[in-house]
Amino acid sequence: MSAEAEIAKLVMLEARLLDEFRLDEWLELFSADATYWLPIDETADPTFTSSIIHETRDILAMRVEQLMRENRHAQSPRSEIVRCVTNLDIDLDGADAATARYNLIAIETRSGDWRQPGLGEKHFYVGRSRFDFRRHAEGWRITAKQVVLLDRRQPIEALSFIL
Amino acid sequence: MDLEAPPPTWTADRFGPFVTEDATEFKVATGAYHRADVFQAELKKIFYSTWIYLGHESEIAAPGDYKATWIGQQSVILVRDADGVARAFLNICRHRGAGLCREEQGNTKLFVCPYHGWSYGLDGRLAAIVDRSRFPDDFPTEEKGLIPVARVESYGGLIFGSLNAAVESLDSYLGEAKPHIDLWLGRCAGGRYRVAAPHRYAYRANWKLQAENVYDGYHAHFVHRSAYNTFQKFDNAFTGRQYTAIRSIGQTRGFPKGHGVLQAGSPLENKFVSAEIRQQYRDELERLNGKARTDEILENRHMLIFPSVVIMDNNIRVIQPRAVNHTEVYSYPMIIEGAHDDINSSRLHDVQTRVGPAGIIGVDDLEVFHGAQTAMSGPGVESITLSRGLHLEEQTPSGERIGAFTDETPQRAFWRRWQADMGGAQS
Repeated sequence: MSAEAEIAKLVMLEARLLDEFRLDEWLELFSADATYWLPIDETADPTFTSSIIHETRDILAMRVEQLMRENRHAQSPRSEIVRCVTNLDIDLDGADAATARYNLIAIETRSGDWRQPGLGEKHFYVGRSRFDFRRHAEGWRITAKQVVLLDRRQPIEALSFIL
Repeated sequence: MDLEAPPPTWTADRFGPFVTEDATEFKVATGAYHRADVFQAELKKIFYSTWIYLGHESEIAAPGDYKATWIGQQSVILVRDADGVARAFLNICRHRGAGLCREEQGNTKLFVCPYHGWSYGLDGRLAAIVDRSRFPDDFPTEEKGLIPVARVESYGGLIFGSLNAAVESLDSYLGEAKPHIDLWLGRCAGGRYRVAAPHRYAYRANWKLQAENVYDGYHAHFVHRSAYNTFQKFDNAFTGRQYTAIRSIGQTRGFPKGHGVLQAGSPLENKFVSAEIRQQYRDELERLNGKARTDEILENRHMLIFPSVVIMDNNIRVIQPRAVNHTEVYSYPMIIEGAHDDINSSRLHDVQTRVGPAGIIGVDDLEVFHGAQTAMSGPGVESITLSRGLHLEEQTPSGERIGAFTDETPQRAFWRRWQADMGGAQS
């Protein structure tokens, strides 16, 4: 398989693991030094500028732990999500680095007693995703994930899962 | 009261019974959270009658800097004029009512109406009418300046506005909350705060559910157990605190003006700032304030200034009612100018990850609010109870009440004020 095909496969796997709530496997796709960033201002330094999420893999591991093995109130009932990955564009940088960009449309809902406010609504998360990859001994790993949401400057409702 | 058929018009005395209190119980009628007529009355009797937080001085640092914000459902422009004075105006052109400002912030020399080009100076005066000649010679242009927010005053860099010209001074309004604001200002160690861009989130329930929640020391272990269990599994790096079901130290305070405070009795810390840098910061605070006051300054403290602004350790939260069952919250991380980069980065990331739009802790509260709004909006449930610590709290001569960390003391202060404002004369 070409490197480009491997990256494309990995992009789809990342989306599928999130859709299927296989978050432990999802976390394994990331390198130890990886960052995950949902910016409010994608041109600013997230160290000192507010983001929706800006986290290292250590903190992401906390999120995964809370969602997988703790009974998080805001995920009971759990979100169901369908991610659409479109306009995929992959750039290789030598043999061991790559970048993938795509447009994301994620539709999320929570059922349960869906008539209650906060449940039963469909939330649309539309944005531009960018992944940086690096080849490790064990294969490609994500070193950075960024999703620039269309409505990142507006109030977010109940983002209690991993986008 | 009739829960299924709310009266079409509001009268002052109708809101008396919403809050009832005796020696054994403090009750709030559920209609206060879901009735549309109550919400309309709140806008008029609270949001358009008292002091509402507009912004921080650092958001309009330079002349011409402006920010669009809200008083209740009225769009307002907060601006720094050419002389450095903070002013606030209704966001409306005096000609045909067009909105002047469609951006959330920026810098300008004039506010120019997009409809017919009338322009206004930073002091609100009408600067020019396009083709003035077709208006009568004695058309009262001097009366056609922007409508000012009747009162604009600030304390410690916090700018408040009121649509009520007769409102008491901000200084008097803040009252017993001022020493607590001063302690929060003391965290700057001689420097100043600068706001970062806000974290913005929304929920589909009443604004008062968030207000009651910010100084609730009783709920944390239950609603947020999944987060606290997770923190413990990760060497407790995130808060540096052991959690117990009922915290035995710390206090709550409720003030006659309606403000309230939650004090944890210890600092909120994490392991993302090195011991050395933390000690340097502490040394500087002690040099300026002495040891005892430094301990007070660093104590984990949440404070709500009635009705809708919250001052927390690392951020200011603004609760914005959009409808009786729709609320937006803007949370502004507060950067300390001159502090070590690690301290500021830690302050920002603490509020972001813990209580931001995707907060490991905060989003679980919103889920509770949704559930509460669901059930309280239906028939059959007359009231909820806020009675924890009612018989045990201490009352000072000034009317301040002091309870345990997990008592509902600040919530009762909020509701007493709410009833006074909604029902007529303040007690």
